[in-house]
Amino acid sequence: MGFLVRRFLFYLAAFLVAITVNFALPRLMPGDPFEIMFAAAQGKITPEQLPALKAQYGFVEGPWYVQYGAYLKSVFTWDLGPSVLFFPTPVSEVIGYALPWTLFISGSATLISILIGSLMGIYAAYHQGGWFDKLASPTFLVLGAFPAVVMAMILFYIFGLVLEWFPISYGYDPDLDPGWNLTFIGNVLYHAILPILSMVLISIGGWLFHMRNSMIHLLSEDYIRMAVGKGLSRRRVMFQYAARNAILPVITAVSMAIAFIVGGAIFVEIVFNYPGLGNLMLKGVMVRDYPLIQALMLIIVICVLVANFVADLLYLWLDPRLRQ
Amino acid sequence: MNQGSSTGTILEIRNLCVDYLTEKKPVRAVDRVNLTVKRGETLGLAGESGCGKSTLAFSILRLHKPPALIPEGEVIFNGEDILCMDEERLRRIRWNDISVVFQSAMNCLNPVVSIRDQMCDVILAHRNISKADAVAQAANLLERVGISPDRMNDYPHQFSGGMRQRVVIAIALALDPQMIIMDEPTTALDVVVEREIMAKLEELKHQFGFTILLITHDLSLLGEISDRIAIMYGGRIVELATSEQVILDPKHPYTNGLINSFPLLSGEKKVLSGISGFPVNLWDPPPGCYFAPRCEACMDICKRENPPLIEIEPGRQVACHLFPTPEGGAE
Amino acid sequence: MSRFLESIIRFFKGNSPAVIGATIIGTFVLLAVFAPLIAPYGALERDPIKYKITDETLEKLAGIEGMSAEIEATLAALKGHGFEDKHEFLRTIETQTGTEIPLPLQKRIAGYSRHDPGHEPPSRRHWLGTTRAGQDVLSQLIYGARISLLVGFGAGLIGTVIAVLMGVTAAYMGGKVDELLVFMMNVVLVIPNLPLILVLAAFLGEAGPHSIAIIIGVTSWAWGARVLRSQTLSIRKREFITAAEAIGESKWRIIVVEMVPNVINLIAGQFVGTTLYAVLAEAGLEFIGLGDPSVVTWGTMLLWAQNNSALIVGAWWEMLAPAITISIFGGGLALLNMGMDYVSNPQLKGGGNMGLWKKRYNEIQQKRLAKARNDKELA
Ligand SMILES: Nc1ncnc2c1ncn2[C@@H]1O[C@H](COP(=O)(O)OP(=O)(O)OP(=O)(O)O)[C@@H](O)[C@H]1O
Ligand SMILES: [Mg+2]
Repeated sequence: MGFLVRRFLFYLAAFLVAITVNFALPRLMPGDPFEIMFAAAQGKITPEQLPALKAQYGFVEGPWYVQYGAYLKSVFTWDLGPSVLFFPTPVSEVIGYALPWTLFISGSATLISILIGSLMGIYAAYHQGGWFDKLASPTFLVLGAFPAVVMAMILFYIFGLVLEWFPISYGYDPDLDPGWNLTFIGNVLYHAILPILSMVLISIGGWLFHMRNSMIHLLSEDYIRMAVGKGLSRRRVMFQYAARNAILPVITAVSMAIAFIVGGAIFVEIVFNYPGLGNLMLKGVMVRDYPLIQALMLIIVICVLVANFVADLLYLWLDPRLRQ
Repeated sequence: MNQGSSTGTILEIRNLCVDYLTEKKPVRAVDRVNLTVKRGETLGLAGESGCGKSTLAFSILRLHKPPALIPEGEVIFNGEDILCMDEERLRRIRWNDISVVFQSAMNCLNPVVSIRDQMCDVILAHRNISKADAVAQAANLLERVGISPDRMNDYPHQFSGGMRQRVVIAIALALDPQMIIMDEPTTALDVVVEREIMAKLEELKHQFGFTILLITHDLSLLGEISDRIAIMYGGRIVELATSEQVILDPKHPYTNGLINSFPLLSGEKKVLSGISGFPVNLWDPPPGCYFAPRCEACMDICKRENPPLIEIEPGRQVACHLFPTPEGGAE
Repeated sequence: MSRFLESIIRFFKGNSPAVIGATIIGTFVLLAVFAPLIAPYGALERDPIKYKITDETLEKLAGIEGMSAEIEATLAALKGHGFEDKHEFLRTIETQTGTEIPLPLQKRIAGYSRHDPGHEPPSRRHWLGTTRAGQDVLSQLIYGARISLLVGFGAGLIGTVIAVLMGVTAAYMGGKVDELLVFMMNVVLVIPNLPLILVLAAFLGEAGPHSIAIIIGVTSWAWGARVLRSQTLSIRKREFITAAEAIGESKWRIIVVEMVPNVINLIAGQFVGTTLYAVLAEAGLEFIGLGDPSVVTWGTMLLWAQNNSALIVGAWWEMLAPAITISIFGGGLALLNMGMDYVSNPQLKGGGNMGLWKKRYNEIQQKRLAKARNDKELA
């Protein structure tokens, strides 16, 4: 259990670092941070509202630690004040609407790419130097070097504009009423295909390579030879003995991969005008809606930390050496 | 028919060659080896590090990996050539008839699978019994090698080196094989544990009656427990005889050197002389006898011609020009 | 020097990913360096404005003050002809009509027949077509390579230097310093850096290429630092470092002279990896408008193509040309990285004699199976 507690404390510390960066950034910029933040909001917010807002965003009178305290309080109570762009809707509400969309496409893309990528990696390693390894490995590696924007754009053009197979904008058909019915869910899936495909195509290569390389190292282990010697079936050796172990170092690379996926999701959402956090981020950045940007940064960090923690749990489950 | 040569031969290796296809050129790690293992005996195989012992052991069950190749030879087990078997037949022979205890047994257990599962999977892969029966059988085996069955659900990292070694031996015994190939089963262990395990092994051998091919470079150990000893140098068998003959009256100069570099537990005190020079470089082997450059009794012919392995007395083979073919003897 | 050359040849020999990757990157570097010599046009040079009489022009000019039947006939006859020079255009009308045209009418004729250069599909003149502003896409790609490569390599350099400093220092200092540095690496690693980059860029306002390179560089060193640390740790254990320590060399000298050469391939890999990441991130940042749109880079080309709705109006070349160029360059970096992996870890490559092994193995097995079948039949 020591392992999980340690990891949890680490994520907490990482979260505090992220909050602190978030707190410090506007204050490190030249000029009055509050002025900068609300330069864009002129007209929407009346001067009378300003002092109350100022306190809400943590710009209270006093030295930095008082401000920091106020900021921490607003973060932990998730009371981040209204968005400038969508004034007076609170930031938390704006984000609450967009979050599920992003979780949906990034989560599906991650799972799909891990599954397909790892399986291909296993296959490539097992038949190292075979035609699949020679062809597929570099191909997906090169696809992984496409910027997310470019991949999304290419799919957008080919499958959206030219072939018109898939819708190219938003998370669902605006004519439909959102609800838990088959038509709507089907429509959401239909709209999600291209965004998810874009992310899968750029991240599959990473998993393939990680798994392949890890597997190749593993196949030279003595216990693999022993498993073959034991007369176990090929499948059993491949999965129970080799893949099961090879996946461990791959999981440790998950933190980097998640950061990569989040980055990809932002751009993919922008290209497909998908109603998630990335799109929101772009809108926020465009009008310099700092409360929104800061809150987005926080929520993204939280999601990533949670995903990392889940990966740790998985690791713990797969590797008995950590369970003491 | 299936029992093959009824003369008591269980395994016959004929003219076996193993090459490693390296970037530059193939390296012959096992060179035309002929070796017969008799049913029920313990045959020792000794030689310096890198002489091809493990390579030979792997190739018996076709456990060699790229870039190793077996371009020539036969491995006749109970009258059937293992090298010619199809995948399925081979899979069934493995462990069921011949099992292997690998060098570095410490790394032979899958670190993320429990001992119980690693024992059961091999039983279930070959026997048509229920999981519960397999578990019971595994418990029984562990007990026999002196490990409490309570620890079955533990993982390899929770065992000490000696215990892991015993677990590996238990797994090797799981299907009651006719033959066990042991490749330096105790190298990683200290002497006390080594003796303990070897004693256990002899006890088990009496119970189960399997044949052992024991590979090691510890000649004193071999002298104690094996019936016959084969000496290997540069991928070739250079001498084969009974234990006493090899230990007390070695014929080949290389064997002699090997014996002299080991303190014999039972033998009288003597100056350890060892062998000068380095083992043969298989990438660039000399013509003739591989041992010639290091040999004190080297003659002209040794540098030109490779001496064949010949029978100098019944049951005693040497490959050395010091022991010419007996008159009228076959090539 | 010849040792250096030799090691380079050894690196590329039989390593096709590395050869392909290095060729791609080398080509781009040459294009960037010699851009003014290679690019057919200037980066911002527009195609000249054209004068062309169309039905629309004729309609608009009909019955206008000073219009005569002769002029109208000439205009109708000239319909569809394009002129690049205004004076030449007007003079042609005058000479063909035979009379002088009053100045106000001249102005109106010119005004109504004026055409912006606009999108032009790939042709002999413009191999990759033109942008909506009439700029040559190929020339923009070549000039854009200068900034994009500079940002990529710059960020790669910054990230690598930080990674090396952090990783090697942590491994060598040990103790509290190590703990602190490892904590920093892990934190930076789990905090996704693209959103961070976005926020930074947003706070900075329009970020020029320098800022982008710096931002990307200082946020993407963590993985490299971690890898370098663990590698250095294992090297440190080796004897020669202990020996050097025993002789009493200073710690820093040991780090620089003894350790760095031993992790040089890792460092090179880190550089290529960070550069790749920077090129991708730069394209993204500029695409969403956080860069300086007046600088021609591959990223801003994407931005302009998007703003001009290039794909929607069918001018796919304006969007796809930079998109594919970035991908080719990124792919080149990725392949080079793969090649470097193969060298530091030959096990991964397996190529070469692996194929030969497979062939021989199958041959031998085939022969044996045939023999077994034969024996069975005889028995
Ligand atoms: N993958 C390989 N590629 C090339 N040559 C190899 C490979 N594996 C082993 N060899 C060579 O084959 C020869 C025999 O190796 P082997 O492992 O059989 O020796 P060994 O007698 O078991 O030694 P030890 O006592 O150290 O275990 C060695 O000279 C070694 O260099
Ligand atoms: Mg060995």
